[in-house]
Amino acid sequence: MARVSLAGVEKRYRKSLAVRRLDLEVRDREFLTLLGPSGCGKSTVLNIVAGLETPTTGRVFIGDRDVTELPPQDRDVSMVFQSYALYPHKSVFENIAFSLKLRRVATEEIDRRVRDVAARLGVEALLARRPGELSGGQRQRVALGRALVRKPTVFLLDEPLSNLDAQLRTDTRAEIKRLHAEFATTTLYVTHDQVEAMTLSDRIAVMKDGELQQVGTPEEIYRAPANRFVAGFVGNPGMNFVAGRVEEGSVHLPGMRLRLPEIPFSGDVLVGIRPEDIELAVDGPKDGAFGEVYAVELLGADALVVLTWAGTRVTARGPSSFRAAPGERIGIRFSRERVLLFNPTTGGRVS
Amino acid sequence: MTFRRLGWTAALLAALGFLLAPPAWQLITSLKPQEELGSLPPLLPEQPTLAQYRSVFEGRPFGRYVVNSAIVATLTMTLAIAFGAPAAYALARLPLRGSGFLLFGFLVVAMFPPIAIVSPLYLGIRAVGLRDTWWALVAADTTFALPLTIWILSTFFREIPRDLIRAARVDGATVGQAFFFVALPAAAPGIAAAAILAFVFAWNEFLFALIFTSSPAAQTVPVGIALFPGLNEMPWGEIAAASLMASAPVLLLILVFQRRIVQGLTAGAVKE
Repeated sequence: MARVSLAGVEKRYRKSLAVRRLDLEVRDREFLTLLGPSGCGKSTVLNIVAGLETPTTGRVFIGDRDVTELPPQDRDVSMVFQSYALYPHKSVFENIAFSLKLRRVATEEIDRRVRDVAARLGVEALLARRPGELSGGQRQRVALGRALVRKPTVFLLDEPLSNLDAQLRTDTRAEIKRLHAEFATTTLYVTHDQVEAMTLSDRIAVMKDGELQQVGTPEEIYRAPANRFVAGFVGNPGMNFVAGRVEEGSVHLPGMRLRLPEIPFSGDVLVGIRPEDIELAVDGPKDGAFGEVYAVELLGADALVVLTWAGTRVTARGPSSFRAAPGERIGIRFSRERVLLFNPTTGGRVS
Repeated sequence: MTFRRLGWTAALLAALGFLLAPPAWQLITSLKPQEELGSLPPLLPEQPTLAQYRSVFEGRPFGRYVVNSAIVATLTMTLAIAFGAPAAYALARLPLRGSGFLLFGFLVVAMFPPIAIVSPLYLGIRAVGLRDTWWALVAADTTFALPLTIWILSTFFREIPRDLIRAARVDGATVGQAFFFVALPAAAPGIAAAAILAFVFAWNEFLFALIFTSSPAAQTVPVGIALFPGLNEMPWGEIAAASLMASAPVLLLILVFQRRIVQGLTAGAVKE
């Protein structure tokens, strides 16, 4: 059982609060991603699990063992750093072998395991080289190999892809996913990139300003965000937000009325709708809402249609065949079951 | 443009001449036969001779001075690195209260004029019975070489990326192992530089060596050379020859380690 649990973990620095009362569990063999903008405390959480930082209050458990006071070397976790942090004076082989050497694993066993991991990552030809002689992608693989060779109970990754260029990032992302399926190690992954979080994770924990916003499967995070922040942070292009009003069970928007089931209140709301949930109708009904085309951005598979509607900018996803001149009036309709309502002051989701 | 270049070249040549003229003069002096020493011209000896080098060793234990110097300098260097490296690492990289204040303190100690403490040091060394031994010089030299070493090495350790140490800790290293297996090798150029400086400092040190020694048992090369002049004669040729020989090991050391000092060993550790 390699469950990781954080119970009431808080990290305070001299002046600032980096992590606020965090309760979080990474289940056995789960791939959980901490997602949030820079400075939200996600790396601090990772360091606390690794033992590189101690929480101000709260306990950390790996399995059933309380590791809060344990130094990193006794926790049996391994970590991939954003900077790779390869030992510059050691060869690739020595870099990967270092953790095994420290554990006094027999030489032949070290040799076998290093070569095995190197082969799996396609770096067996580089074993004699120094990190300085490797490309960014190769260094990344060596860093992964160094973390994997030990078969740790918990695998920690701190923004491992952010230093790679776009193509390599996509490839390595797929590779990390495959490695997780293969090794089935409990994994805590930190990133600010919502695509990485969506594609890799079993569950995502979204953080902001040191506070946990929501934990859920990628689909839950995407379809049922807990608040406006999560809704806006996940998805590209981001969710559209329009000010509206609830009266007698219906949401009133400029030129549009949405009858939603079970709205137990009335008053001002913030209506959130994802770009793909906006229907565009060039020859739509004349009684609906109309947006004025601001720009059309062809992406290839589809197109982003940016509209000005009642003073706000709204982005919709249309077919790649969509053509419209700036200034043209386009009818818009929302998929009713996809509309989310947020409290305009607290940002919390109300439906 | 070309004028500017010319100006630079002239300035550089002047600086080079300023730096190289004294040793060049020493070299010329050391190669002249005794008769030509006092006369100019000729600037260059008509028949260069190694006689002065030979006579350095005649009638005085110059070899013994060299051995003493080598031992004192090596011991000082070893102590300075053995204690300086862990101390510098602790000050640079471990969470330590008042490390800035401590570093400042070391700097003050290193800047202290030796002449100001030579008397109390002499009394102390006499009291513990170390007068006229290597250890007297090693102890005195280390008090100055160690702060310097700590100061230099702490800047080198501070340049080692924190992630490198953290990676070692997660890999299973204790604080000590992370220092030995990761920080120390990564700071190798700094260690080499600091070691050479400590060695050269002890090798050249004159004041302590003069005061704390009284016989060839512990007298070092600078003290030995200072004892060359006799009552009526000033053996310039021998002094020049001895000085050049004394400089040779230092020069050699720097030449050998230059690459290591300059070479940035941390290249490629992290993505810039």
